[in-house]
Amino acid sequence: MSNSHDHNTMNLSLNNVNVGYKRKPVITNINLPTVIPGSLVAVIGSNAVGKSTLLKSLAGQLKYEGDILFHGHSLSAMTHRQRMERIGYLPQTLPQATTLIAYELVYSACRAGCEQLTNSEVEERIEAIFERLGIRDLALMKMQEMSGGQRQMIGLAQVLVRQTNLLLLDEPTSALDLHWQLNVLQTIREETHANNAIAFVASHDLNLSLRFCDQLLILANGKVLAMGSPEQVLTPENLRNAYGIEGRIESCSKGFPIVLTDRACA
Amino acid sequence: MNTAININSETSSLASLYRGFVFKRQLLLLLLLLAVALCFLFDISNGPANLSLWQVIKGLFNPDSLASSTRVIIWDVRMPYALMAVVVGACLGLGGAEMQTVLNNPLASPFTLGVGSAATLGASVVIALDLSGLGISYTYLLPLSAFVFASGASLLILMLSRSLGASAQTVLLFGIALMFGLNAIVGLLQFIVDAGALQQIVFWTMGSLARASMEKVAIVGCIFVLCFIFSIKQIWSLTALRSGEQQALSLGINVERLRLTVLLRVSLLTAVALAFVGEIGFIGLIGPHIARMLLGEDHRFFLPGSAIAGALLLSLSSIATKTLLPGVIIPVGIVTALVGIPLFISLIFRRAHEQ
Repeated sequence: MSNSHDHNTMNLSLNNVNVGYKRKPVITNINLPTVIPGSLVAVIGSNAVGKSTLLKSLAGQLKYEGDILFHGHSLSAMTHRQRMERIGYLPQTLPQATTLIAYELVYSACRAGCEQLTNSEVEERIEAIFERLGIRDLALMKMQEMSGGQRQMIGLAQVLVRQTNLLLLDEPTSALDLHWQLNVLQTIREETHANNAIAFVASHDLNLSLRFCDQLLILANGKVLAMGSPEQVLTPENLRNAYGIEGRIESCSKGFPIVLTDRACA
Repeated sequence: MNTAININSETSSLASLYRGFVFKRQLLLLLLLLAVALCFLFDISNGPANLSLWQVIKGLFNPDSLASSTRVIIWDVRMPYALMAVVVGACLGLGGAEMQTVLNNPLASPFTLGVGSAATLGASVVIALDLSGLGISYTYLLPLSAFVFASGASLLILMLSRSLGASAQTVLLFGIALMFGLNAIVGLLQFIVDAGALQQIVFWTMGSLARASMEKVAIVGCIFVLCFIFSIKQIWSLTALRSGEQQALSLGINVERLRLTVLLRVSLLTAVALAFVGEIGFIGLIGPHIARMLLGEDHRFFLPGSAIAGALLLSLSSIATKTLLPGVIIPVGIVTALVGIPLFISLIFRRAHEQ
């Protein structure tokens, strides 16, 4: 990250971004301080607050007003191919349970998403990502024989295999058990830092976000409630405003901050 | 993902394990092709004047070694019939497979969603209005009109599944309603036309290979090859679409455009295939299911597999038309319906169990 300021074309910024569905505004007037490369940002907030909407607009899948600048380019001015080269988006829905085998799913993501790779490059990437996520034994299984959590892992492999600069992951651990939650977030963190990428991870798990993410972006009422380091922004007041709960942030015996929730506000 | 690739030497790489899968599938495709070739030969050897397989093979590769009557039977009578079964079956199999993928519906096929009925109506209209005065040969006019009507039906189905976010079952019910409606209009046309046109329309609705000719085979064959080439261009997008619409969108696939082009292609395949042989049901439904069971859903294998399975099914049906009742050739549409309906019902049951 030391050289990131020299590469000020590699960052992401949002100015006055508005997004809505059929005139019903979901996100209003969002401004984000510039996100520098090598940042893992957790997007948190209550249900229907616009987390997915924000990620979808960053992915170029929703029309928005305002400016989203990535690599110094306006997202809306990028060609389809440019977007594909830069952005990897994991939707909330799991890959379908079909007779496709996992290897083919990831292969098709490479072939449909980054056409310029040679066969051996694709094979190397797939090998590496299955190894990295620890799901080598799933590679030749049919999707319909897998559990929801296993399919979620394959979906994640589909995104990570493309090695994009911007990762937009919508609840990537929603179907995973504790072991895989830790494994996945650890992997995302390492990949993001190693590749000097930017990752936005929408999540409901505050403790995981605290533990793994560099920054938290808290949304409330379609606006940014707070953004900054977890220690700065995760306060009882913000918890109350974002979720309507009474909560505390304490230190565990190992010194990590943890969120304790007491009750829902009346 | 700068992680060094570190594969244990005792375990082989995923790529080489996967290549084992690919090899098995290529082998299965080859076996299916071989089965089609065998059926094709049987189809030619079968008929009122029974020929041996050996005679057929000799007749194909060295026609001059046979009596001229045998040669005529093989080349002029049975060949177009048998070839037509293969190319029409391939068209319907390919069309059905693509339709099932883009509508994400395993019960979709040109027949079950009424696209076949629309093609029938398109052809019936030409026959009923007696458009021979236009100066265009029926060989071209029938498929053209069938295509226009089939495309209309496909677009209606597309609109429904888009605008209502309709489930597989809803789309199927809509297709069945469409089929009934279109069949009623065809019935009305049958009621008002004269005897000659009536006979032609009835022939159409039954589905028969009897009017095959080499020219028609060539037209259907060319359209199949053309459509298949375009399918290959979209083969990875189609495979990626099987992981889900959201996943495909996130890979940058323009799903809406993909659906539209595929459904137009399916309409063309259906219309041209059915233009010369009439309504033949269930091939486009069952063919893809056989391919999916044997080859999985990687479209590099699934699409050719469905086409070959379709060709195999119709070729088998064609043999059945000549052997079921001695001395009588049953319209092939009746055979495919008799075999197809129980299979279709079993698919519905299996789906119900899965849910």
